[in-house]
Amino acid sequence: MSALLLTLLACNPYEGTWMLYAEVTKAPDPSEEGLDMVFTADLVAMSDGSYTADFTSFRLTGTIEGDEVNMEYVEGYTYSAPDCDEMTSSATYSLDGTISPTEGFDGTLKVVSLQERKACGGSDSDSSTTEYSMTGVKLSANDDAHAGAQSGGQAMGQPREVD
Amino acid sequence: MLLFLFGACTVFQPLDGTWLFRIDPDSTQSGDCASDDSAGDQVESIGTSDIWVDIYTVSGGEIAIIWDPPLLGTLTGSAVEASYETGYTYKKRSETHTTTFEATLSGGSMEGTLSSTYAESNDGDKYTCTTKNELTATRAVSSPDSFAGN
Repeated sequence: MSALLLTLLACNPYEGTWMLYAEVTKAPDPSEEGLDMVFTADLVAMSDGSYTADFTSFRLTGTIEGDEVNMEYVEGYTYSAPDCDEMTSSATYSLDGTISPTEGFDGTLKVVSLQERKACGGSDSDSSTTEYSMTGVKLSANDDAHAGAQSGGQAMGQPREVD
Repeated sequence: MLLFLFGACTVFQPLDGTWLFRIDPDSTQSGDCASDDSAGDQVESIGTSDIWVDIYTVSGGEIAIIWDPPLLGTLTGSAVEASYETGYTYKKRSETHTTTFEATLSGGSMEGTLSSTYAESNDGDKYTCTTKNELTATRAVSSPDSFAGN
């Protein structure tokens, strides 16, 4: 009985596979606004108290405090040449919103692309932002009920490299 | 007796589980392939390359890190060491590829390096190149049963 209680207490209500619905609300090309898409992501609890949201092609890490989700993923590079030329290109993915095991997820994914160039003669920069309105529901993971069906994502625990 | 057996099956192994390896994409090279960083263009990455990695304790107490190829090694105190070596020798020519993981374990986190060494010897001529990447790793505590498709 006590073992069962411990198991129930240890259960994390957020971890698992989520189905997410995204609608573009802001884009560099206004014709893209209003486009929507559906995909799945695995939300994984980590030993340091953080969370990782695995979107297969990229992974956001961050926190869930109370019902507030704050997660981020950054990629890019800085190129520098000996003649003081320097160029930075980066993309920052930020996921913010509220989450509840019963009400689901409601938030925003913001993708900011930044290009900066610094040269001996001056500098310039360019950035663009795409925002997605996101809602999501957690999938029941009773896989014994499914006849070999697979989710859209990949199984957790298989080595997969980020593109 | 049954209780004892059950208890023996659930011994906690600090490395067992799924880990998120966060690898610094910027590698350093040493040996014959080492480049002169003081001159020329340089590219520095922003962010990390993240990858899920399973680690198991195998019979005999060794650990297996499910990399490609799998790395076998030990956990001694907080020191994690695992490696895999392959290669061949044919007449006066030999080649070896060695992948080595070294890290320090602290609770559910690790900090260390992943290195790959290629060594070639051909009739007395030798060439060695080591590429090393820094990484941090954090263990997942979620149960795989929580995920659809598993």
